[in-house]
Amino acid sequence: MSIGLFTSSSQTIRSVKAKIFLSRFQEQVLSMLAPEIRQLVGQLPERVVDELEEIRLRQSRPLILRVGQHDLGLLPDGRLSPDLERSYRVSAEDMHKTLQLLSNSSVYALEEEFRNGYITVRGGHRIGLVGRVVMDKGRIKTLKHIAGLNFRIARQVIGAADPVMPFLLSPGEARPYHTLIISPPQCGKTTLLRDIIRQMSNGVPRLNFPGVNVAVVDERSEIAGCYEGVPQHDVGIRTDVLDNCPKAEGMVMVIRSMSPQIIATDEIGRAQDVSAIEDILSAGITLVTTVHGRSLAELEQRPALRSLLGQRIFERYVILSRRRGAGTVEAVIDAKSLKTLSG
Amino acid sequence: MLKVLGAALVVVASGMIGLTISREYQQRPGQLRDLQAALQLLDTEIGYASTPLPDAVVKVGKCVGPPVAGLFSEVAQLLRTRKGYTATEAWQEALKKLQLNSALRPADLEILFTFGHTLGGTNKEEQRKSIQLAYQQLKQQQGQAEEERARNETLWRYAGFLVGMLLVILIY
Repeated sequence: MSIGLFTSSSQTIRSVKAKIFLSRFQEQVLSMLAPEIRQLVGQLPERVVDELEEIRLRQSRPLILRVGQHDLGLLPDGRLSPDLERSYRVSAEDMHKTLQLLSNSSVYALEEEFRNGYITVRGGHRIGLVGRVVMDKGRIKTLKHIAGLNFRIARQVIGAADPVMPFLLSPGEARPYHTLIISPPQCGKTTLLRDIIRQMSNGVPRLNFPGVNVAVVDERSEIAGCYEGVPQHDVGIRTDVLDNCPKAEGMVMVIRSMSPQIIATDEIGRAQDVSAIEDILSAGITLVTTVHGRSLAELEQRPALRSLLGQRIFERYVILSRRRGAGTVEAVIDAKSLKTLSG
Repeated sequence: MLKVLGAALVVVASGMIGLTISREYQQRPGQLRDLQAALQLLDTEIGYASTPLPDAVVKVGKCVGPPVAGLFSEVAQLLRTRKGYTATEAWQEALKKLQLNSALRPADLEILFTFGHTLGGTNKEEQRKSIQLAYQQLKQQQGQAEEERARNETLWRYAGFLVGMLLVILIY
């Protein structure tokens, strides 16, 4: 009886969450697509939208949706099909209108974003762009004739960090452990980092962790998904975000400006990052960050990282994979003893 | 008595028609001037400040007189309220309204219509180029409009009444 009650209420919560996501999807993503494509994508059933990861528009070529692990075409009558050749063909007009809509009718104001190759929009969704590059004095100035767009639907997974949180907080100490998330691309590295940030910022009552000030240096607007400086993902109530800022400079900057107890950033690995990390440590601040890689052994091969690992700066390593879907925690390792704590 | 009343009506009616035509000649140069001023403001907002278009048109709308101000505030409103509207669509919709309540000629509106195709959809340099082009064309139209005004404004102010009187005399 009680089990029945529990499942039915959790299902209700799930469906409410799906509804909220659907309405946000309609408001944030659909409104940016050209009318013809908007109409087609708008007809998709709820369960497909729930698993939709990417919408790819390539001029004069078929419209392709990435749903879960599959590429699907969208037929002109609105049905999904694995036969991509029969999918709706994206016209030049569609590209032009989509570009106008996603830039808020201000393509001219997006030169910086064109230079970076992506735009972050309301909701934290990211749209990648390719086209003809315009050079100026040997540097990329902007893009012209945009011929390819990739809408990457952002999904925050609240609670993604629940299994690892107990290992990242040190009992009896206010300061969480210096943590490095090691993960190949597409394994939920940023999703995990985001939820760790949220929990550390809000506090974790079940672990008696009160919550501390967190500063996020978000070089590619991926962690917080800022739109006009305001985080679009829930990154916690005590979190300050320095958006679109080079990591090394940003980390030094926030130490002075926001006096955080934790600094979080994504994808370290360059030599200048390492010296900024030394500044953080000397200021007594906890560092939570990520790096591309499959294992500790692989990281040892990279010179800049070898020195970081050699100095035993980090106290916890979290290793991710896709073995059981994105975000599989392979292991949490104590960096001092190199003992596996979970996984 | 009835005849006199009828005659007066004829004179007044044709006089009013004349005055309306005369007013169009009088107003057109001013409205073309307003449009040029508006385009220059838009050029500054886009070229130097990179203001997003919905904000830029609001600012422009506040700085010029009616009915040109209405064109820009209409575009602003359409962009704000109608999700999924491109700037070109909003501009063309707003132009239809302007056509009804301005003294502008089809040739003037054609310039604005063409300008709308690129509005908001290209990079900064191309935006500025198309604004400049429309500006120059409107300036040319304005020169022409000033000439026509000098020739026709006073003429039409009286012509209506005179034609009315002629009609009355002929009918008698």
